[in-house]
Order: sequence, then C-alpha cells, then structure tokens
Amino acid sequence: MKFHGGYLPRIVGRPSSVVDEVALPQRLSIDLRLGGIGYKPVVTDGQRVEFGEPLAESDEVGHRLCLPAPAAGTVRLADGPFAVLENPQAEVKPGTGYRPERVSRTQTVKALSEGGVWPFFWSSETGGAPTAGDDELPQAIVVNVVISEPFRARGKVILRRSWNRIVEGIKFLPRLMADYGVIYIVLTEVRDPIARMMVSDLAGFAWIRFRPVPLLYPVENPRVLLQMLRKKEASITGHSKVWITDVQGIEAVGGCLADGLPVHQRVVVASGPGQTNPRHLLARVGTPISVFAEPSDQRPVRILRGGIFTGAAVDSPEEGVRYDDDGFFFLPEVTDREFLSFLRPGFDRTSYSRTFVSSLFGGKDRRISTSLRGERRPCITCGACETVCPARILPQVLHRYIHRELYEEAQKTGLNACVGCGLCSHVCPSKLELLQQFLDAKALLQAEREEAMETAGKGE
Amino acid sequence: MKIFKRILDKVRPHFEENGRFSRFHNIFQAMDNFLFAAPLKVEQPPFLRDPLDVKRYMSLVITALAPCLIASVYFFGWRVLLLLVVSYVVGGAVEVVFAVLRKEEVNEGFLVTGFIFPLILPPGLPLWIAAVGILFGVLVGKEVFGGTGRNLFNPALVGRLFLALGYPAAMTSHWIEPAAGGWGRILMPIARSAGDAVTSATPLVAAKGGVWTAPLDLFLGRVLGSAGETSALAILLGGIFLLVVGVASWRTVLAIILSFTVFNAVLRAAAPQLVAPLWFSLLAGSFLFGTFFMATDPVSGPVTQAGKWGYGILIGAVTVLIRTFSGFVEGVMFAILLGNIFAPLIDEVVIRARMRRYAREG
Repeated sequence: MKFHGGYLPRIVGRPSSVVDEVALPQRLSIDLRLGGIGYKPVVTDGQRVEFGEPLAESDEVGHRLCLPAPAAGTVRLADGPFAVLENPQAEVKPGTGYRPERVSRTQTVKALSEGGVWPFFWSSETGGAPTAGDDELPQAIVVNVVISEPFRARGKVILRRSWNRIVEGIKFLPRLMADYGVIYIVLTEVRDPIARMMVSDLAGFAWIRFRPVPLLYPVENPRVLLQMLRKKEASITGHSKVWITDVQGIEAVGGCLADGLPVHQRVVVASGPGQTNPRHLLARVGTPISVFAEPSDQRPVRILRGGIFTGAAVDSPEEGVRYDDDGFFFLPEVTDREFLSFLRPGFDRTSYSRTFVSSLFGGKDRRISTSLRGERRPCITCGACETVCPARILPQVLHRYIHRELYEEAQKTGLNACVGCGLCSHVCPSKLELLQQFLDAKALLQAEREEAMETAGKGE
Repeated sequence: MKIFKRILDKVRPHFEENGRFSRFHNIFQAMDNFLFAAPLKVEQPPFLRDPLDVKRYMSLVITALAPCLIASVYFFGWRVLLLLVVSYVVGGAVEVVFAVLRKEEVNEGFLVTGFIFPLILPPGLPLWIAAVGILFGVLVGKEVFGGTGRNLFNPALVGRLFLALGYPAAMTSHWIEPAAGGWGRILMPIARSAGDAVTSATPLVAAKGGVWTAPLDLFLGRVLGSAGETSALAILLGGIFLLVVGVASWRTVLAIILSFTVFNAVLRAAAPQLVAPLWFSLLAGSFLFGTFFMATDPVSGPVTQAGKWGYGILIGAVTVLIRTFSGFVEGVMFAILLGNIFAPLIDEVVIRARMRRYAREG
C-alpha cells in the first residue's frame, strides 16, 4: 500500500534497539488523561491504592473506562488532571486472565476498559476512542507495526521483546469485530525476517491479512492508514467502520486479556542530539522524565513528548511518562547565529528540497535545534507543501483562504481531510505556521457548527 | 565574521526602539539577518523545521543566473554590469522605501528581480532608461500589489513591457555587436550607448527576411540580443541547475517546451513560409531564458502543481502564435505576462476539481 507525499529526514541521535529497564522511582507523577478523553479521579488525597486499582474514570465513550494505578502506593492529588503516587511498590499483581476461545465479547470489552487499554483503539467513526455499543462493531481492525518517526518506540523492538503477548493480543481481536471481520497487520516489508516469523506464527488464521507499507512519515497516522486501506481494499469503503491500533496497543491487549495485567508500563525512546546514549527504555507509567534524561552537553534542551513531527513541548522534566507515551526527543535550544547561513553547502543538514549537497551525499542532519531556520515571509507558492502532503490537500491554497478568513471555502477545499502531520509547516521555506492555522480554522468551524446546532435546538 | 558581529552589535542600539535611527530598524534587521541567521525560535509544532528558507531559495536563482551574466559580459562587455548596478540601486531603493513605509521586513525578492532585469534589456540601452524600467517594474509590478509573494505579474517583465511600449525606438536600436575572439569584450572598455550601439537586425528579425543565423552562434550566444538571453549554453547551464535543485518547476519548463514544440511543428507543417524550423525557434530570442527563469517564477505562476501544466501549455502556444501571426518578432514576454493573468484562473479550475472530489469522497 502506498500514499501520496510523505517524508523522512535523516537526523542524528537515532535510538539503539537496546531496551533498558528504568528503576522504579520514589514517586510517580501520573497524568490522568489518555487518548483525548477526560477522566475524573475516583481516589482521595492520601488514599492507599493497590496495583491496577482505578485512579480515575470516564464514561465519555458510553461505558466505564478506568485508568489503573501503575503501582501500589499512596495517592496525592494535585491541581488539574494529575496525581502523584508516593512510595510506589515494584510488585505487579496480575488479575484474571482469559483464553481467546472462551471469552465473551462483554468480558473482553469490560477487561479492556478497566485495564486502561480501550483508548489504544482509534475508530474511523469517532476519530478517537471507539464507542462500545453492539451495533458499532468494526468490519476491520488494523494492527500497525510500523512507526516511521525515528524517535518513537520502534515496532520491531517491541515485536522482538513481547512476541507472545502480541500474538495473543491478535487472537483476541475477533471478539471485538463484526462477523467476517478482517484483521490487517501493517508491516514495512513482508519478506523481512520478523514479518516472516509473524506470518508463520499466525498462519491458519484466514481473517488475518498482511499489508506492507513504505517506511515514510506519517504512515503511522491512523487517517493515512485508513485512506490507504480504502483505496486498496475493495471491502473497505468510505462507510466501513475500521479500528486502528499500534504495536504497543496490541501488546497491551494481549497483556490485559491473556495475563490479566492492566496498562502499567510503556516502552519509550529517549533520543535526539541532546541525549547521551539514545535508546529504548521500559518505564513504569508516571516515571518522571528527569529520571532518564541524560544531557549530552551543556546546552539547554527542549523536551518533546512524541516524535519530532508530532511531539509537543514538555513544560517541566518532572512530568511523568503518560499511559500512551512512546518517545521523548531532546532537542537542543538554538544558541548561536550561523554566519551567512543561507550560503552554506549543507553537508551537515538535510532538507526535503534538493537545495543542499546532503541530498547528493546522503549526510545526516547534525544541526537540528529549536531554530526556525529562516525568517517568516509571505507564501512564495513554491508548492513543497502540496507535494509533501499525505492527505493530498493544497495547503498553500488553504493558507490563502484562511488568511482572507474564507473558512467555508477552506472547508470545501479539503480542510477536514488534513491529518495533522505537520509536514507542510516543516517544509515551508517561508516558515508559515500552516498546521497551526489549519487546527485553529478547524476549531473555529467546529465552534460555529456547535453554536448553530444550539440555536437550532432552541428554536424548536 | 567576528568583525561583522562586533560592528552590528555596536550599532544595534541605535536602531532599537528609542534609538536614533529606530525608523530604519528593518533595514538594519535585514543586514543583520543577512549576515547571521535570524534568531527566531519555533514556538508551535512541528518543532523541527527544514533548513531551506526564502533567502537560500532566492540565492540559488541568482547562482543559476550567474552563467548568463558571465556570458553577457563576455559578449557585450562590462556595460552589462553597469546596468546591473543601476537595476540593484534603483530597485533596492524602491524596496527599502516600501519596507520602511509598510514597517515590514526588507524582502529578498528584489535581489532576483534586479538581477534578471538587466539581462532582458538590450545591452547598449541608456542607463537612465534602465532605471526608469526597473522603477516602474518594482513599483507597479510588485509594490502596489503588496510586495513579494503578493504580486500578480513578474516585476522584471512588467518593467520591460513598460520600456517596450514607452521607449520602442530605444529598445530596438541599442544592441551591441557581440565580440568575437578569445577574450570577447572582457579586455575592451565599457561600451557607450551612444557610440557603440547598433541597430542591425536580431536573429528573429533577420529570419523574417529569410536570413538564418548560424546554429553555433545562436547556441553560444554570439548574436545580437538582450544581454543575458542570447547564450543558450549559459541558460541551459543555469536552467538545468535550477531544475536539479528543484527551485524551478520541471512541470512548467516541460509543459512550455512540449507545447512550443508541438505548436511550432503543427504550424510549420501548415505554413512553412511563416514559421521558422524548430531548432531556430528554440534557440533564437528570449524563449529559453523566459522558460527557465521567468515563467518558473513561483509567485506570479499558478499555485497548484496541476495548474503548472496548463500554465506552461498556454505560454508555449501563445509564444508561437505571437511570433507567427503578429507584428512582433518576439512573443515570450507577452506570453508569460498573459500566463500570469491566467494563472489564478487555471488555479481556480484545479481547485474546483478538488472541491468536487472532496464533496464526492465526503
């Protein structure tokens, strides 16, 4: 399967495939949010909780979802959606495990929801966590093993580490699907040794299909995956319900259902030029970033939660690993101003364009920092955003519409098809904040729509 | 490099707020950011940005134009550099005045416009006419629309069109005889527009009278013509460089050349006495220069990639039609300006098609 556009820059500081275990710290700071869902704490300040006991609950998707305690300890509630677990205990107590052929759908949904696993599924219906009604079963579930962003936990590293749990997890998926549902396993290359191992282990399951995709950002974006499936698979139409999860999601499904373990740890990557020994880490949820941050030099760094494209800046290194984290990027702050920067041949920087010699000799970007790398200018309509866009929209045209506040026109020209990958902002030589403009415009339109619905409701 | 830093840091306070020259802050800033990378930080995701910026983009265009400048100095002498200086001084002054008035940053765009302009003028043109041309081009072609990125037309072409209409005699009687011999005109004194300029026929004019210039002379540029437009060799060197680095759109270039070739062949088959053979049409006049350096100006061309095909086809066809059926021997300038006019319309067609597709797919 292929998609339009996409880009993957070569950058130094790629993590090794070693997975080190991070020792359990003295306190876990837990963010009570997961998959864009708001949770309400169900524990009181100073209360002692056991491993896996719910810390917070939500019924936003129509049934009860829990955030389980990643360790036993004493709860301290903070302002906002945060909790601190003091004196956490390392001991992990598994709950009830099931066998894929002897579990009912109700049991499956309940176990996944209480184990904190449910929000790891992305639904084409909601654009977020799926709802659990019986009439909303998906026709297909996609298990994506490919994480193209080089600074998020790699699919193969997880596969190698938790092979059995992932295979177990896949065997439970038919419980969540409509009759004759299909599981698509998305890999880079079907001939790859790990892929082969997977194919032979899962042979005999007629409802499992393997689909190779290019290793190109943003292939892991659920909307890009969905768009590829719709194009390639005759059975998947615009109205088909599809759920998508990634390799850590399916590992969590296996852990939760087969071994009775709620989500309590994550494989995350600590990498980038600002981190010594960039590698994979197995960390308990809530482990403060400062525990594993190892500055490579004296330069200050900005910590990004997520990859270099999708990551958001972290306010304080005392924030903890979230339930769905898979990467922390340590981006050096820009400190110097390069002399005649625009005339450099560019052996030490990579670009989407072919305007640096690194595109001939294949150098890696060694100069990445928080610098904007240029000045803001009006759009010169170079068209780079259009060629790189995986959603096949016209970012430069949307930019003009939004600039003139023609939001309706922007919507008609495909604003809603934007998958939010940020490649347009990345490649723009005029350094326009295209992604932000699109997000703001979408939010504005959404607010208008809600207001219109409210007034319509009052009128009746 | 340290010296520049010291000087800039020393005068910086005068240009800050409440400084003596705070009005000219953006001129200082342009200098500062020219020498040292702008101290701007990414504040919104994605936090990593591509190293390509508009400065580099524009400097690559100028790099690509260098062979044309060298060839023009070789064939027509140092006078071309004088024209370049006039163009930069006058064009730059307009740009700076508008930047100060608009309180915007000084834009790199005029460096390209100012570089292209002398290359599309007759090399013997009086300097004051060149000054009037660039003044008009930058002012009316760009600044009235709001500056670089907002202009509808290629400013250098607007300037040239103004001169062609306003000073038609001067624009056709100030050619310089290209120098022969190993050193070209490099060792000769600067040509004077009064004494050295000639009014003989350019290859396109001569062809109307049935005189064909030798192919090698056309290819090398040893013919009468606008300063930078005569040497196909130099244009191809720079043009192919622009295509390789991806600054010029290959779609535009390919579409123009294909459409030009097809229309030329069809018309020649129909009326051999009116249309020149393809090799001649391609090499003579400003076709190649216009194709590689003027039509590929991203700002005045269409916004969408698909639109670039339509734009190129239009320019190629109109060039042939003007050369064949009108009183003008040269059609590229009009064809590109016409393409500029149609570019938004072509975009609109592409965008409508996209809208229909999104409506269908939901």
